[in-house]
Amino acid sequence: MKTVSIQDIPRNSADAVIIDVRTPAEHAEAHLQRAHDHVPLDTLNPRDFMLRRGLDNEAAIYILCRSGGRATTAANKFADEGYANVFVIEGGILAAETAGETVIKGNTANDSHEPAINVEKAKSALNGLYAKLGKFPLDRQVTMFVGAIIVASMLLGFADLEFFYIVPLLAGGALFYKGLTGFCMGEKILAKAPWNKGAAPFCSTINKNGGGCA
Amino acid sequence: MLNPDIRAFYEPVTGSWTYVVWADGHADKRCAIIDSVRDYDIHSGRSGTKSADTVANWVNKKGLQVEWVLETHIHADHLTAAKYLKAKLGGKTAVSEHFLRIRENWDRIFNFGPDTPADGSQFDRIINNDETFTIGPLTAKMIHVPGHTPADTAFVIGDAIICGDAMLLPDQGTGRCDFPGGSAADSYDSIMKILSYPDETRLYICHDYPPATRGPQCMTTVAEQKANNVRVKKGITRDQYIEKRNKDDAGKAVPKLMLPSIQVNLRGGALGEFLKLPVDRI
Repeated sequence: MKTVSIQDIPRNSADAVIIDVRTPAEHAEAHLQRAHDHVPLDTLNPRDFMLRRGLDNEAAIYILCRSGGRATTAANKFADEGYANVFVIEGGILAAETAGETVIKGNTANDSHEPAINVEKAKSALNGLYAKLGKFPLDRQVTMFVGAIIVASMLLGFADLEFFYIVPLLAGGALFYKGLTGFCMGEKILAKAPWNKGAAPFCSTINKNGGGCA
Repeated sequence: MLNPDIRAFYEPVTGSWTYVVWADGHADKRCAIIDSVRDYDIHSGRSGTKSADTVANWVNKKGLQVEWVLETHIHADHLTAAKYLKAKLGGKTAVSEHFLRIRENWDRIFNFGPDTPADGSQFDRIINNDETFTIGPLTAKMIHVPGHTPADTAFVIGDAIICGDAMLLPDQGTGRCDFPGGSAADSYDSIMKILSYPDETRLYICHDYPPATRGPQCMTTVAEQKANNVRVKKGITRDQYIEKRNKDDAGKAVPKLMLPSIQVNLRGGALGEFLKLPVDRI
């Protein structure tokens, strides 16, 4: 797959579209200042994207993720459907920031107001947990998730439920397979988790989009 | 019937889509540019052509010949680059016959001078209701879809409709109806007119204000609008639509670029030397 440094992507060109394929939560935490589209990898459908974005086949597509892994998967999706002008942005948003690209950081300040009722407190705590979970990059979520499963099943194993020893065995195999091929089932599953969709379970946050025509 | 190829250009400041419509692979390279944008800074009064040049450069690269520079309506939130693009690329500017009504509405506020003639001579062509015309090898038809403004039109071209502000994408609903001459009832009837086309018809919208969970998009289909549009999906009655639309539009702020937009767009895209600021008239 062709790669490119973010500095070499032409600015102000309608023929150069950057797609950030990280989760909404990762995107909210830090994203490029320069114009870009945001389509999480698990919802990306190249032909549909090109049609809905009004692009022609020759438009150059530059794909960004955290460090380059998911971008390569996304770029392969485009290549498989016959789009030739597709590039992976080297090193993802981490490298972009190092290279001096302006990255907008989300507001991480904590909400200090104290809800009066306990139910409200619980809801707010769960919202907070979702927000915190969502702020972990997807690969670290996978590491935490797999690590927790291994520890839990080992403990069950020690408690004479020997059957559970099969779980760390499978987890180890899956990790080896991910390293070998880049395919990660955990990422696919976790990308669909509500905290990665930018959802808060107990409040409907409406996007305010400035005063336009509509 | 020949179906069009459509290339869209997003202008993020006002969330506007500009379209180039042509027939790819056809020997006839004529195209139409629809709803172009001229950059404008409200504070300094400076205009710019960056957005329009992006479109022009693409048209040149693609080797297309501009036949038409069209408007779906007199926009209230951005300035058209029609005049600039015509000077740069050629083609004829055109707007619908309903332009006259808009000019009349706003004349009370702006007291227009000779740069905004009432006969429409600032445009090369005035298109009538349901009139068909050609864009190179393509056949286009102008349909009247009032509601957002009384002069809103849409262009039906093959299996695609350039909708103007009659509708937004399914998750965004429909355009506001509180401008002078706007009407939620007309808006509903216009939307039903558009949704009476076959389910697979491609609908291209004029604005998108994408939520954080997706990028800007310009296209949906009749079937998707019927199933998912938050304001007009199946099950919502005409009365419910009108009530909700009017309630949501009450007290809405005036678009930032409305005053310069209306004046420049009614001049056919000519910037002129000065723009008026009406005092206490709106």
